[in-house]
Amino acid sequence: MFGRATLWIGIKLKMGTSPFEFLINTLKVALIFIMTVNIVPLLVWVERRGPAFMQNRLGPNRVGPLGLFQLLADAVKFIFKEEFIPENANRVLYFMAPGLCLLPAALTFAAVPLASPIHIGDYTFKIQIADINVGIVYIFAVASLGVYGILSAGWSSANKYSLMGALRASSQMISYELAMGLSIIGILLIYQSFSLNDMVLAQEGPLKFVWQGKEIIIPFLPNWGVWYQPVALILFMTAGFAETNRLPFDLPEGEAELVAGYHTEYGGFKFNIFFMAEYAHMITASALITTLFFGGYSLGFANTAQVTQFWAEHGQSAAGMLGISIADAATVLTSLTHLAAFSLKTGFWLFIYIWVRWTLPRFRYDQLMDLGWKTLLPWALANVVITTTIMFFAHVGN
Amino acid sequence: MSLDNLHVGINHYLVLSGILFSIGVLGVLIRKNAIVILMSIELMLNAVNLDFVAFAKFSQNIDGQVMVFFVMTIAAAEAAVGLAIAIAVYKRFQEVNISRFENLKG
Amino acid sequence: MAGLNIEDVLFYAFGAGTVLSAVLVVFFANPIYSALFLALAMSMLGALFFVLEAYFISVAQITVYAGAVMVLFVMVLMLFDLKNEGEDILKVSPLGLIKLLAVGLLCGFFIGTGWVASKIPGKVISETSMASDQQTAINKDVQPVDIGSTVSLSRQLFSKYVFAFEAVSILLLVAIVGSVALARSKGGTHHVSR
Repeated sequence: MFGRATLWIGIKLKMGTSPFEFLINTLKVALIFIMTVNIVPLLVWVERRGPAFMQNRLGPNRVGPLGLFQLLADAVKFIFKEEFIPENANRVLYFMAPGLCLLPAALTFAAVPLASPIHIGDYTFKIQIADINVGIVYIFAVASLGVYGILSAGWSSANKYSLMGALRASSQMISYELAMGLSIIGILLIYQSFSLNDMVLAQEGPLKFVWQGKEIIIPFLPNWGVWYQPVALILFMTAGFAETNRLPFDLPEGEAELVAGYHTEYGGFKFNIFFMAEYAHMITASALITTLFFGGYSLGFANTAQVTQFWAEHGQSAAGMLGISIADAATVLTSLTHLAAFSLKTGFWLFIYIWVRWTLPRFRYDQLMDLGWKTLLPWALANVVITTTIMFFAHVGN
Repeated sequence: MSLDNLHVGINHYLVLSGILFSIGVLGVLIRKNAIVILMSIELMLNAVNLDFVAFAKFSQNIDGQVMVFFVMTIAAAEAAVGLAIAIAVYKRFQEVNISRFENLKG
Repeated sequence: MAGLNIEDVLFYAFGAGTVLSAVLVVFFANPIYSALFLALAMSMLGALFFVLEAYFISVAQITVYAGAVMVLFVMVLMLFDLKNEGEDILKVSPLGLIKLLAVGLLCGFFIGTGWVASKIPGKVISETSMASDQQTAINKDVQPVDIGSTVSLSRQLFSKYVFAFEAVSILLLVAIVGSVALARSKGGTHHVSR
């Protein structure tokens, strides 16, 4: 009867298998987006209590146990604040700017693989919104769209400080996009693929490479990208800090410099959205560092097949609870293990982000641009040349 | 009125690219702001890119995409130089309305 | 009951979006709105490229055009505050009508050709199989290409078109030096005032 109804409508969306797949994909998008947005309060709590501990002071500790509900209180405050618009502001762009900031931040997270695929019955669910075969370039492309939100916010506020902050922020973002893209080329040369899923799969198991015909295996180190490309990690991290406008590169929103830069004239809920967009960018950058250099969702000491095997032996109770076969339950548990590993690694890098913010002083604008163009760019190019040379000599014996 | 015409083939892409190209031409003809004229030129170049990529898919020949690569690069260079000229003009004359520059007088 | 593929639906959706954004580019008086709508049109074009299985070109379009060229346009417009210079788009004049008519003829020519071409029976260019294209391919000894993969794109780029590639890189260098020279202010940015 459902089939007849579909036929009667006259347009049958042939999307591979069925509308079921469409539903699953929509669910994935909604879930992952909500998950990203909900990590933000936790991050803000870490950002206020952690550095407080480092700086030998107390952070917010009145609202809830250990101050955990502080951001909830902040969110309620933001919702009830008066929504004001500056007098000469361009109303359309003023309202659209926060959304323009949040959209790329949310879109970039789509190509990141969060865990290994789940098999239930006939279906395979990938824990990744879109396994694009040009994954990493897609992420850089969408991240480059984040400039529009900043420019719109700064210009539409009809405020000199906002405009200056916006122009500084956008030129900073464009300069460091270059460095970010170039620093990745070494990783791309090694993994021979743009797809993030391929990169994670290539980083499983122990450290193993081929040097002039001989295969060398170092069993106690995982096959992570950081051993192959340490310089690229430093370059990518630095460029990632600049892309997300975090200290030490946060001159555009420097509190003492430009009032608050491009979000000076924003209060209430719109400011909250800018905030969320910045943290979403941070989460994506940390997820990228994990995926490219630290193995993504894979565990360091066992590859996916071994973990599935382990859970097949020890996971009978879960299979009984969910009512699916043991092999399927093993994949579900493997996926959960991988998700935990991914969350731990990404969480570690997020902590590094927050740690650096409260440690280093801010760069001046010309120092910032010098660093991006005169330091990171040549180093990234040198990295490419050295990587190609080493790879050439590695394959000489073949 | 069958639905077969709606099934997208090469002709649909060619028509779409033709429409975009005509809109670009309209922009160049009607607008007086030099920067909007530059933008309409970019629109025309994009329409041509769409043509190339559509032909690449429907003839299964990758050369179309290689062409797009070059057109994109050259259009970006041209936009940069065009904007630099527009900035220089603005600094000298305080406006970029092309009807002001029709007479080649100082 | 013919079924529409998801590619068809996406083509119509993104195609309509691109045409709408392009029309709004031309008809907004404020050039900043024009620039933002052009960025939107280019992003939608990037999505169309994705539907056409040109994945690398699609992300390159978004990175280069929507993410760099249009950002340059928007930055210049915002920095120099180039507002609408009293331009009246909707002013009806004989010359304006002639221009509109001419462009309408051009557009009609395109649409008419496409419509007539779709009526021609048989396959002129359509989704042919690899085998039949091997017979009409220019390079008879070329491998069957997977147009979605970056590998085949780069293979062509660095073998058949390598001269054009190098020439374009020199052109980019010339463009960089040229635009810096053109937009330079007297004394440069590190102007030391005595």
